[in-house]
Amino acid sequence: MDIVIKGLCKQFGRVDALNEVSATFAPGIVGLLGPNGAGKTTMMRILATILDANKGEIVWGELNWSRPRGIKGKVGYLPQQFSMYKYLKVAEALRDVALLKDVPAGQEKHQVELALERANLTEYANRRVGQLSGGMLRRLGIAQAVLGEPPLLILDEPSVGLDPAERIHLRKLIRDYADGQRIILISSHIVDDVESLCDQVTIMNHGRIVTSGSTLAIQAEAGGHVKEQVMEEAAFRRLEKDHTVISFAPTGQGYRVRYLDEQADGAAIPTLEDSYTYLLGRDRAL
Amino acid sequence: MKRVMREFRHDLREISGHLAAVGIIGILFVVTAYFVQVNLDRQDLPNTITLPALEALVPSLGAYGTLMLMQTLLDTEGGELGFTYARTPLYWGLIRQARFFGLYGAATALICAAIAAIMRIPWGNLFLLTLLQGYAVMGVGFLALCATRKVSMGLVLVAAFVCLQLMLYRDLPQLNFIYSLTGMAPAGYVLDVLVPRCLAIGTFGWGIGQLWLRPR
Repeated sequence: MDIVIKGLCKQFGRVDALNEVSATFAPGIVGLLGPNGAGKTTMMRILATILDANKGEIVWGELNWSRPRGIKGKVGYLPQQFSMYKYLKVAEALRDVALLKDVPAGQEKHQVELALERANLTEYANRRVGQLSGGMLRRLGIAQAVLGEPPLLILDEPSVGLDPAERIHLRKLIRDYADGQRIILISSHIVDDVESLCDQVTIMNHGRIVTSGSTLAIQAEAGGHVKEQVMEEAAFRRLEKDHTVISFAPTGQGYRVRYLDEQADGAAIPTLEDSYTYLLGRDRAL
Repeated sequence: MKRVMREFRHDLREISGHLAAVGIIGILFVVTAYFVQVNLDRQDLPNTITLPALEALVPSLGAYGTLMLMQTLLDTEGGELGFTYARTPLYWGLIRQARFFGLYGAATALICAAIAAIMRIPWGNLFLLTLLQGYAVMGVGFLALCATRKVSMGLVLVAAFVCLQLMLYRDLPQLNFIYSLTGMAPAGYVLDVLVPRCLAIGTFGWGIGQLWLRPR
């Protein structure tokens, strides 16, 4: 069942954090991309029932966000900044989370063990939360989010603080968790993570949705607008002044540069990062 | 009932360090009061120190506990996560605070019983007044934290509320809302004036604070 968002608005004082946002999230892994201040976190906090929208509607089958009590047992949320229960041990903290999430008493032990296993924290079960490193704390955050196996998982910048090996493990966890019925919403600045994981992508800017669709369809949006060339440093410096550079990497002869060019011949196959940069640039120009 | 006890145990574990500190201060206060009384008895002087100190200290310690109980939810990065769990804002606010108030009441009863025994005064009115003063000061602390989302501001506002009254009660008695400060065991007249004020201030603080508890 899809989550349908219609005309969502949220103001903080005079700032329109969300402005008539409408979207549909189907079961699967949905990526939310956008620059800082785009409204991603605000939308996630509304979906997580932390904030109320000023206007608009969110429905999910028979569930409606105007009655948040029905939603709370079905959401797992990982905020951008996460910290909890520093004085408790990891397993104790998760048992308390299970209590607060109303996990049935008979399933509590199993669910805690499952969450520890999923987040690769089993060997740290007896360590105090305050003694965890940044990466392990983030894993604890993921563990508390998936505890109780909620059908809607909302992860705000889940890769923050994770080393490359942990990021790979996180991707596996998310892929395994998405069982075809669950909706997993991920926001990230790391386009790679979104590209490798997500079936659907929504790009936001200034509180609005710029575009939304399947990852492949969004990737193709920059088709014919991306060029890739190897050039010397001086040429690269000149190019930077007139073109939007998406990425560059040093080579033996200078730099391999990927950039937006309206006169591109279509030889370069666009990536999600290319399309993200292209679409945001187009949105700013409008 | 088992679930309620587990939830309460979780809350107490969360603030266990702060509770330990408060407990030590309480014990030290009673021990100090004993030696003060012994000293004054030897000099055949009335004790006008202990009861004002009790009024100033015990409700303030209660307010400190109230603030610490809300710290993870309102003044810790990512603490709003609690609002996503299967608990209402009423649970996070008044229900948890009511349970903590029960603990505060039990601790206050013990301290007042000890002080009453040391000073050889009736226990009942002393306990009632201290309990309701706690209700008022804790309500002020709860409101301050829910309004500012900062434990530091909550502490400052509680300190301002308490200190203004303690420092100005002689020169500006109109600004003294909830304190007796006579040094004598609270009698009927004092209670008739102070109890309704404590109830009014506390109920206002708890009520408005609860309304402001939801994240913005």
